[in-house]
Amino acid sequence: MRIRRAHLVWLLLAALVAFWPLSGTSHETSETAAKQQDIPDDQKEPFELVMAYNNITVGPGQEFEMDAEVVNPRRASVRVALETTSLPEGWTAGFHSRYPSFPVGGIMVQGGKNTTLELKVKLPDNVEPGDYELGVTAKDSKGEKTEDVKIAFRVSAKKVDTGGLKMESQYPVLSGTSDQTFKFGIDLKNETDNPLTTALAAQAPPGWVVRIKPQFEDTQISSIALKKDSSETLSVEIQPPQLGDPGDFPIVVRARSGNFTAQSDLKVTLAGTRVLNMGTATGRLNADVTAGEQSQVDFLIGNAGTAPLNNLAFISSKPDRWEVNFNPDKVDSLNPGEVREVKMEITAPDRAVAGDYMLAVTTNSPDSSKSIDFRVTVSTPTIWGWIGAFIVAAVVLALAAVFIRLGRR
Amino acid sequence: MPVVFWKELQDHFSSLRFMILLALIMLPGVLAVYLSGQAIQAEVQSNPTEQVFLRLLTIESFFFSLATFLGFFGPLVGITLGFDSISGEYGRGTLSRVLSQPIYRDSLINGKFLAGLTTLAILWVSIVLVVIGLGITLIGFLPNAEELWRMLFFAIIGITYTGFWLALAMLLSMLLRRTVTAALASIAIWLFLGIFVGVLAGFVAGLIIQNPQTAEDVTRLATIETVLARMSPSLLYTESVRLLLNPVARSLVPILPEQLGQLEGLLITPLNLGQSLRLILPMFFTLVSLVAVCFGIAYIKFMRTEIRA
Repeated sequence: MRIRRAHLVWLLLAALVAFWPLSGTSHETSETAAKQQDIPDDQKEPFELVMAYNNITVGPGQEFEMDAEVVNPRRASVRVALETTSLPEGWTAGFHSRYPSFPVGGIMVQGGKNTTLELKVKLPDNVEPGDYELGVTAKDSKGEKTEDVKIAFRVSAKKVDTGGLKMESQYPVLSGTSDQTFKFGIDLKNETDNPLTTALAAQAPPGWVVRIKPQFEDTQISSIALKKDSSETLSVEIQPPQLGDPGDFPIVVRARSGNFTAQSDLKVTLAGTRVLNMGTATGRLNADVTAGEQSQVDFLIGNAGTAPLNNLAFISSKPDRWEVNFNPDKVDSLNPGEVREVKMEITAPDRAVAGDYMLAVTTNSPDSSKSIDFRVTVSTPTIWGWIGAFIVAAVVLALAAVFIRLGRR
Repeated sequence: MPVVFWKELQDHFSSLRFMILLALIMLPGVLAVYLSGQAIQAEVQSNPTEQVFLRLLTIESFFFSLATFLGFFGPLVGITLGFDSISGEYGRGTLSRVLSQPIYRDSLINGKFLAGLTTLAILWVSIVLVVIGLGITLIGFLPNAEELWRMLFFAIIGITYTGFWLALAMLLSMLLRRTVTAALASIAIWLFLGIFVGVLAGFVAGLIIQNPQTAEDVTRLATIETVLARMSPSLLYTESVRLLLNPVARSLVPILPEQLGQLEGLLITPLNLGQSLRLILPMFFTLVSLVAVCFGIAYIKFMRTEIRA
């Protein structure tokens, strides 16, 4: 029995020995935490700079963003200046505030808190593949600590697929004339696992109107909510200015949601329009002509389009035996906005019956043609009226003479 | 004869009857030409200018064209000039007195007929001249040679046609001796030949060919009708004037279907004057011979009549 009792005591002791240090350490950690808070500020680091990534692979022309966190362990707030040093040639880099995104050169961090900035690095398009290094220096205002961080970049030959938000257009280049509206179909894809509300914006040359619409609706939108891992087709309608010069016009459509951006580079190739106008200076489309004599009517031709009109010729559809000449009879080229006067000489034949005639004048060019109708009033020389009246009078007189001559008894 | 001729001419031109008829024909004629001229001016663009003066005569702007009008009322002038030429002398009892003068009997009837014909000629020529004068005023240029020739032949056909009625009226006046009877008979014949022959021809043709069904039957029906109607000098006048004043016209009888093949490729272009004249020659000669027959009978009858005071 005694022995048994002795065993029990030893067992208790052993258990005590075994558990003692454990309870002791736990007591110690809570004590050190309490101690750390008790450590005065001047013994702590004034700040810590945490750069999220290193050894980053990017492609030429790409923009890389990463979080830069400044932690203030002290109780007092700290002012930290941040700048990029040792920038490879052609690169641009800078710190930006989170949102709204502005370039910043320094921040103030409250005691015991941290603030996150964004480091944006833009690589030039023509950067050679290889290893590069970007230096970032953070310095507190009291000059207690200067932290240099080297961030290594590995530049690949190709762009790196960043995933997230994607924008694609099946027909990124459209061509036409300035009186058309161009419609691009754009697929916007959310490849993330989160729903994204995406802001949409377009950048176009001045005078151009860009409307972003859902595919089958007629409402103009500037943002769209995308479900996770889904895609949406947008219709981008682009209206060039009425008299847009011919040429290539880039239009950039951007989608942005938080850190994710996507852009689609569209291009509209405008061909010049050729709009031929014809008319007279006074607006009158009638003319008076005496049979057998020449008379002149002027009309104007103008190019209201954006491309020159070439090889203009004039054709008249006229009554039989009429003569219509144009001076000049041909115009080699008519520049946009140019107006030219054409003199038309009309000669009605001697044997034209007095009355109104339609004279259709057509200006023809390989690209366009225009026609106007003139109403030509032909009057006959008054001499014939007199001669006719004279013949009638002579007949009446002759008859009267016969009556007088023969009626006498 | 010249004595009788001039005396008759004086009689015609001094008679109120002739004045009234002249006014009755001239005024609507001038109106018709004036309205035709207006119509030509209104649709000036579509009209060819070659035949504009002829169109003045043929456009139906005022119920009738001038040519149709003259064709209908011209006979009345001829009848007026002829129906009392012999019977009037009988009635007044002046014939024996005239013939007691040193005048041959044939010169009397010749002179009377020629005076009537001359009066008609003056009438027609003055109408045509008034048409030309008004036409120049309305249209504004001179007629060309072809138009002048065609109008001249139009006047000749008109004179011949009214000359037939003059000869017929003289013949009736010769035969019937009474002025009123002669006048009524002439007018009856005028109405019959002018209006009823056409109706009758259609009726007779309908009797010969009943129920025309094939195209050939219809053509034959029309041919028979035309041939029968041609017994009337007024149709002869109408047809020849149509051919003369419308140079595009080339046939007056309907064309049979089997003949149609021969006409394939024929262009509708105006015929020249010679061809148009050849087409109207048979009708013209028929008219002339009708005049000759009527006057011949009257002449023979007059020469053989016994004339007493």
